[in-house]
Amino acid sequence: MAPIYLLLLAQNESEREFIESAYVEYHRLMYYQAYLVTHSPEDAEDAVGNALVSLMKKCETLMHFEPIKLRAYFTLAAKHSAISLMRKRQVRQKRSTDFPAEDIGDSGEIDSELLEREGIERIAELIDRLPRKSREVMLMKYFREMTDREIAESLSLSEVSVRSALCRARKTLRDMLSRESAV
Amino acid sequence: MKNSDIKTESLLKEAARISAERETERLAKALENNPAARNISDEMFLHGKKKALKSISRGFFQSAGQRIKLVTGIAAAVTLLISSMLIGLNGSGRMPTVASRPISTLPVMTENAEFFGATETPPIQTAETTEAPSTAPTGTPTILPTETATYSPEPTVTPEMPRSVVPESWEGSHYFSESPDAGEPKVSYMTNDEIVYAQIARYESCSLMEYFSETTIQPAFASEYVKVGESKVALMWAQGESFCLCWDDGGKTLLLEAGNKETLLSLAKGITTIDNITEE
Repeated sequence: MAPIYLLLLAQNESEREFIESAYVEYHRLMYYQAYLVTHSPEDAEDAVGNALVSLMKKCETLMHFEPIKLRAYFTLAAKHSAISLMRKRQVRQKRSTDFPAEDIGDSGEIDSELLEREGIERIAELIDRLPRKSREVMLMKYFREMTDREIAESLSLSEVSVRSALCRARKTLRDMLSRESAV
Repeated sequence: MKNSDIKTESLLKEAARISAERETERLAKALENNPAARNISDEMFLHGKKKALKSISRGFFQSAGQRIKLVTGIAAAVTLLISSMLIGLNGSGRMPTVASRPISTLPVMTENAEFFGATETPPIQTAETTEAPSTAPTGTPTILPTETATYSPEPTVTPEMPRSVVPESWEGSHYFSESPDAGEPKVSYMTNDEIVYAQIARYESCSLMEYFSETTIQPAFASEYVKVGESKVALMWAQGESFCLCWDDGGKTLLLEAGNKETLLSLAKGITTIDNITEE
């Protein structure tokens, strides 16, 4: 059974059932994912707990997701929560960021025709090949549909830094696509 | 936003979804096929729930603007159990002679030490301090009165609880936030993060940690809740025996009552505002 702190977030019986089933279904995978990031059982639990709470607040939306998307969403939420935990700790320790705000002189816009030409599956593969940090920011933005502010809070960054990171990620993706097209 | 931008964003979303699902699938397979990974997961699930719960409750209550900690809820549930055990309340609603339940016979907590974070526990009173007052009979230490009381499940009835249910050595200690006088049921506001116990309104109680030092009972987080007005009232219990009502009132948790489930449910449904409760 899901713990009370999650059930309390339910607004009605269907949400309660959703929370119950989602918890049973995904908590183990979430723990595993978080552990791979934190390498600490305690931190993994913290991360999963935070992720679950934030997910449950969106359960009205999540209830309509396909199971496979839902599983990915939950798992990524745990991962990002773990990254967030680690980053906050890191920031506390040295007050630095891995995503310095900088003018990269390019908004990273990608031509939609270029994307269409390559096909969604291919783009997904390229996203997989992005540098880890760029990929996570991309997934936060485009899969979890987090706002720049939410990403910034999650990663202990300024919004400017997040936008820079997103631009850089898009630019990298665009360069990869261009190279693929040229071949 | 231009049409092409919308299209680009839509394509990126779709690609990101596929990428995320692939990653999750790989992870799920790794978890499924790797016994070591499975073990890690199991261990994590069993390990240190307290810390996870604290973290979760912290996140939950902060984001919801509700400055309470789950640990306080745990304390409430478990302290109820203390009270129930101390007064000898059993499932039948009748109270056996309290003398049959000397505290020293309660099982000693061992395996749960880690569960509840032994390193984080406040100082636990030693056996000497938790033993019976000097007035107790010699032999087995007892904290119990010689007279028998009867438990009344009616919430409006003030039980006649002998003060001696609580060892004298506990009285006046920092574990009590209010006078431990038995009497009118009171509402306990629990907003202080430092509070790791909840004083049961109706009964005198000992601290959570003292309780855990004496027992092997774990709180089960199974719960029900009922909605009363704009608030939710959570029923929490431990081991299916004792229940408490926790009223979540925008940042405050009110420990309303201890007793059996039916009584609490009827009480919960009969109250609509905090004022009503306070007047109880």
